[in-house]
Amino acid sequence: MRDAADRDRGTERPAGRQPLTAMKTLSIFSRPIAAIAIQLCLAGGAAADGEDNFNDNAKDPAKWGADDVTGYGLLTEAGQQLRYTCTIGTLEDFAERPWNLTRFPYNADWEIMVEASNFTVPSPPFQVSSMGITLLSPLSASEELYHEFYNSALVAGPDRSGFSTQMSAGGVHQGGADSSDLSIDRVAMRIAWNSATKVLTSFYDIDPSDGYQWIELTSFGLSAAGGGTAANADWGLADSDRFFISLYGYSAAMSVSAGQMYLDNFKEVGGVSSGSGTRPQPVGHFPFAFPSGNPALTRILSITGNYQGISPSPGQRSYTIDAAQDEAGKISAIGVVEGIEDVNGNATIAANVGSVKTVNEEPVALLKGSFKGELDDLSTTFKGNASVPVDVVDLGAGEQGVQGTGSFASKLGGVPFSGKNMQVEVPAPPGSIDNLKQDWSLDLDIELKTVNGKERTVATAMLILPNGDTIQYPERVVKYSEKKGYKIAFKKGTNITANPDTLDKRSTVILTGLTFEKVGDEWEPTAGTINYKFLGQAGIEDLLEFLPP
Amino acid sequence: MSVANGAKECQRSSPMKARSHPGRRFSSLLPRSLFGRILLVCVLCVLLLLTVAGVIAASIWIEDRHPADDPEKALFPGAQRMVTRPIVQAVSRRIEEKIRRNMEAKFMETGLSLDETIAYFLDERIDLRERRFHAYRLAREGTPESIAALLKVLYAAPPADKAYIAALIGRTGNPAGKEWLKPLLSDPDEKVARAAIRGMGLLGGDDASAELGAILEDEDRSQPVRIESAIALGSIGSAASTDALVTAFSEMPSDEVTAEILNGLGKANYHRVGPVFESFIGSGQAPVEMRMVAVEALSESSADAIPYLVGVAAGHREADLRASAAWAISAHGAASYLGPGLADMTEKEPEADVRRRLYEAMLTQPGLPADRVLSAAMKEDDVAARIAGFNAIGHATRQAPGSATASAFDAEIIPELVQTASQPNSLNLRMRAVFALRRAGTPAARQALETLSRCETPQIATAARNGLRAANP
Repeated sequence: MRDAADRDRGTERPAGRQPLTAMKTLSIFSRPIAAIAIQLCLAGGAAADGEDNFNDNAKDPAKWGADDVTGYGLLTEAGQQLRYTCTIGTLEDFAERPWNLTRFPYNADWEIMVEASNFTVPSPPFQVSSMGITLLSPLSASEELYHEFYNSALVAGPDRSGFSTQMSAGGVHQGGADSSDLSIDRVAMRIAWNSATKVLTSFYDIDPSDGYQWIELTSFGLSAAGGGTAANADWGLADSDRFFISLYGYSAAMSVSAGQMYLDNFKEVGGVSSGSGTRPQPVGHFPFAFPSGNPALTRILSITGNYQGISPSPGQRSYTIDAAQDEAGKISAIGVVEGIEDVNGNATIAANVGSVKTVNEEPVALLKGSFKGELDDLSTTFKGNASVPVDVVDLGAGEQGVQGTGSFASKLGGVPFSGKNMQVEVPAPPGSIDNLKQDWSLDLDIELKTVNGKERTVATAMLILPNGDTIQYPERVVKYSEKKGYKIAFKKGTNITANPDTLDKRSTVILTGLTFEKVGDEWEPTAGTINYKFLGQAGIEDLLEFLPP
Repeated sequence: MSVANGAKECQRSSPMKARSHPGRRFSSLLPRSLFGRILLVCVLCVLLLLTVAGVIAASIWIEDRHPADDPEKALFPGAQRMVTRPIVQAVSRRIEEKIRRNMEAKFMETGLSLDETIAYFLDERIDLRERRFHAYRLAREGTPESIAALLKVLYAAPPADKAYIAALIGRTGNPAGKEWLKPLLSDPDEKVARAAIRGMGLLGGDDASAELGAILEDEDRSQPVRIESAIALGSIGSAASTDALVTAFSEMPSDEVTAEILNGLGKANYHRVGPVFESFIGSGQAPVEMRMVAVEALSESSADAIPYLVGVAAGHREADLRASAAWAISAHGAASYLGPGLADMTEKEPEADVRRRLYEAMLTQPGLPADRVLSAAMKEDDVAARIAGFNAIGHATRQAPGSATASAFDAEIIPELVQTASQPNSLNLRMRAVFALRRAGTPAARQALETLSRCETPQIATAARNGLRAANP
């Protein structure tokens, strides 16, 4: 998704995103005769396939697909226009409407145009508004190009209006051009594809009321041959591939009322039937796994297991402790410490001893306990707590263990003593470290399926936790957005390792911005964020870090 | 004439002279031989030591059973505060000093003198990762020479070493260390800043609370740094640090920062922070996850939080909060009067997850109404709640071996626990099934552990063997 900086249409831009100098060449002097013929055809204005003048004030489902919305952006056919409104301005609001009637061949010429009006008055420092055309690759959400009419007060102010065409490839902004301030509010925009050169050219007209006087803004080469003036990038398309397009409205940090922004008289020439097909949705089996050897990633730990060794205090005593950690991270422990018995003379000490949580992106055991009994036949009470990052470190002299801080209050033979915020160091003897498990994996399956007579994209997932439990998440319908990819929330799965199966409300995985590109016949993830939460701990990371090598 | 008679004569004839030699009368009581006199001195020393030991023991006994600061139990509050309490405090201090000496022995008892340590610490030919360990001793000793050496190395050190040394300074407990750490609080390297914050938290004091409070409220600081400040303020646990946390809490920071503020506030005495928690938990506006954090944070609070937690566990409309409150009660462990109430709540609770936590809270309770707990647990369909219930019954069985509940445990529950522990299932549930057997400790339970000790799953077999060893040490 574009950010506000990408949409800065003024003179102040982030470093590295300086547009190439706009080429303001009157097309009347340079355009080919073929283009004149196309314009004449476009000027016909009669409602037919390949155009929409929005005069019916109703979205035609044969032509347009489901809107992709961010925030409070909204596209509505009303007043014989395609209006963009935003009732509550957030950081970014957006609405995009895919054109479904036709597609645009890589191996043939075509043109698209639309008229636009923008009467908003953005205020500095953050307000921007724009409407335009997006050109999309059929293979990947990482390649796109947009041509828009904007009104911006971003950073410097005052508001300024003009045209901008920008291209991204591989998810990275490649370049573009900006007309600079033209101080206009009603315009026309056009993009044209030259299949011989594989170059896309953008045009604008600053006064469509007197017929179209196209001015070339810039051009982009979309094949390995290059040829564009603003930027070139090989989108990797074959002759049989067809572009998708959509219309959109965008606003940042501002509300837009009805009638302030709209598009009209959309027309395309050269498109071919889409066959009612939609842009292919990425499907397949996608395994992800927590990688070893990347300490920057937030770990989720299972500590269930058996621990034994010599305690550093009190008095170098041997101990055995068995611990069980549940799905919420809560720990129950039972153990024996040499010389210690409870008030009933039992050597077994059992308690709920705390939990493991993520604190500052690190698993931390928050332990606490109280005890009343005897230590070496002396009456003893103890109450204490400790916070111990579960990270095995070198304690010195080649000894491995965990370090933390703790406080306690105790009475031994009636003598009270205490310590506050004391260093806790627990050596981890061989074998104990093996109890700490941090490997987990997520198997994601996305497939097309007929649901209630309609073809839908559905996702399922299986999460294997560090403690070996497997959580199966039920199938859910998902929708792929070119801008935002998939957003899939896996919640309320079933622990199928438990016998009988048990609902697990505490283990969730949320994938956002999961985009793909097609490589051969397979879809491969190109971006995404994974928000994972289980065993009482949580992390948010770049999903690509979890791709298997 | 005997010596005694001679002395009497002297007194009669020269009273002034007799007054000038009073020791002579005393010395007449002492044994004549040197050995006898030494023996007498030894006996007196032993008597003195016994008297001191007796006074100390009596002071400990009195303060243990009749503490001076407990108006309801103190025998002679005024006298105790003057005599017994200072004696016990002195003994406590000796023990705490010994514990501290033990903990810092590896830093302080290196076989090097302080001068040698300083020289070694400053020796740039040696890798700093080997030298930095000695920063503890330099900070702890706090002599002008050791401080100069410490600061020279500290401020010029690479970030990783700087962070290591900052953490060591905090561990020494030397309040002068706060001044050394202050410049590092704004270090551009986040790890250094966080280590300095941790160090400040360990050193404590109102000045440290003020510094850390300012960082916590500073929205320009990164979230991890602010979280570290919240944790450090929570560890200080003073009135000033609590106030700083409350102030930051009122400014509605991010959920992650708020969670650590709540965890920090949870460590304070409940009477200081109760209204903040009750208001937040009672509000329906905050996300339920954050209110769960608040409820569970009270597991660290003083015992007077328990009645509030019991109220939440018994009657809050949201099951997640009831479960959190039940868990917080179980983590408190101190209140031993809750058994019947927990049984009541379990019988009325509609959510299995909450009942599981209520069973867990029973594990520290004496005098459980075992028959009611048994009845409730046997009705559980949810496997986690069922095993938690069996653990509670195991606990009750241990308290009343030979009871009807113990018989029911042996006859009905043990076979199910063995099946759960020995067959494929969640490792967490299998371990807890073993725990229930170990809690009960009946001969039949030991026999079941014997069976499980041969289980193929190493964690289960080891847990079972550990249980058998505890039963037959």
